[in-house]
Amino acid sequence: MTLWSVASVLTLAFIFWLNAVMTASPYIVYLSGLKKQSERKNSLVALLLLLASLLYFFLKVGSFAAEGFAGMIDTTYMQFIWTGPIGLFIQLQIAVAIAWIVYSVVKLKRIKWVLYVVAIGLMGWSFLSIGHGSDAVWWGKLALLTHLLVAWVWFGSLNSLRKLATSVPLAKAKAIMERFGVHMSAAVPILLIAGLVMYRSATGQWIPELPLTSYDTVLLTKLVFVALILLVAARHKLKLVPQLNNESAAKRLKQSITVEMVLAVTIFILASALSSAFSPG
Amino acid sequence: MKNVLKLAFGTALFFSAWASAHVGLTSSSPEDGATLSESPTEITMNFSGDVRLAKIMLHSDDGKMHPLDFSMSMTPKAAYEIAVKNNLASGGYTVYWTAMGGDSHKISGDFSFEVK
Repeated sequence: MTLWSVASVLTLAFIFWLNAVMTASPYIVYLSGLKKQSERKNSLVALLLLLASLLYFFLKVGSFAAEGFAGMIDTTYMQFIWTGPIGLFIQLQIAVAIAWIVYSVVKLKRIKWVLYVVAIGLMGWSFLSIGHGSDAVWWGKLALLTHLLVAWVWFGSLNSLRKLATSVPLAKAKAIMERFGVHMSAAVPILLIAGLVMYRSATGQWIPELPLTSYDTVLLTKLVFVALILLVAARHKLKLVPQLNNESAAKRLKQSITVEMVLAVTIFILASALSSAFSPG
Repeated sequence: MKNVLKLAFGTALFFSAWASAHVGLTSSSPEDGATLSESPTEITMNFSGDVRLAKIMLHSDDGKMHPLDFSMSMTPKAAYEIAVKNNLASGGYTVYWTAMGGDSHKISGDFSFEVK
């Protein structure tokens, strides 16, 4: 595998992360009771998505052209990528970024919600156009969308929660973390079931058969990281959040959420690799 | 914390550097390893699913590239026939190809033949 592919996987993981931040944005507002979202943050996320989408496009062009850096601007390969599924993915992500820029400046709540739903729909559509979602049956696509949505809300909330752990009064931080814990307790089983259904849709089997394919091995590695992040989340819910009564406890929680974020990023990278570099079977 | 970061990214990059694809070339003409008594007029390639052929190159063993009548495929299909523009002299040849699978993955490969 070339450096182009590694760079593409990392860029796709970054796009995953930005989509997650967008998806979780209104949820964090609801959870924290903040009056409004940060326009600057939303605009920055949209700008980064725009740049990441363009970078992903040029990396894919460079990867197919295989002519060094000059290949990134080869117009024939640019046309090849633009007219295919990756082109559709990039066009949809650019549309998401534009919708999010408008979302960040619009004041009317109803229009904001419409833009939010449109952006989520475009994000979901974009991830159905690449990887194994593109040729999955309808229930495989539905499972993928469910899996993405739950993962995006969870992982997309982490950075805001990390900041909230020490930036609001302890009682409020505790209440926010407790509510988040309750919501995620319901969401995680959905995430896992949807993941299982996706695997069934992609491979035709419920559990991997020996000998393991490279796809199975990466998936099992992803599951190890999912198990680790669940352990960290359980530690938050059962230990660190109930103990959130002083500054040092808040710092401990913040540090632990940082670890959770690192695990989440790793899961996104592995998910990107599964989606763009590995094939089942 | 630094160790967690190292472990996480190390694992992710290790697996990122290992790829596979399930749509592949099922047959070709000339076949891989074939010996032909005369120069082929075309190269045919059959894939296990629809792909978009991005690149195909014919090289002789002396490193020289031989022209093919190929234009990039914008619509996916499973079978390709590519005309060889000039007669090939005696010697060994390798066809290098790159395509995009239905799942947007890049797939590539090569096959060789000899003209007597």
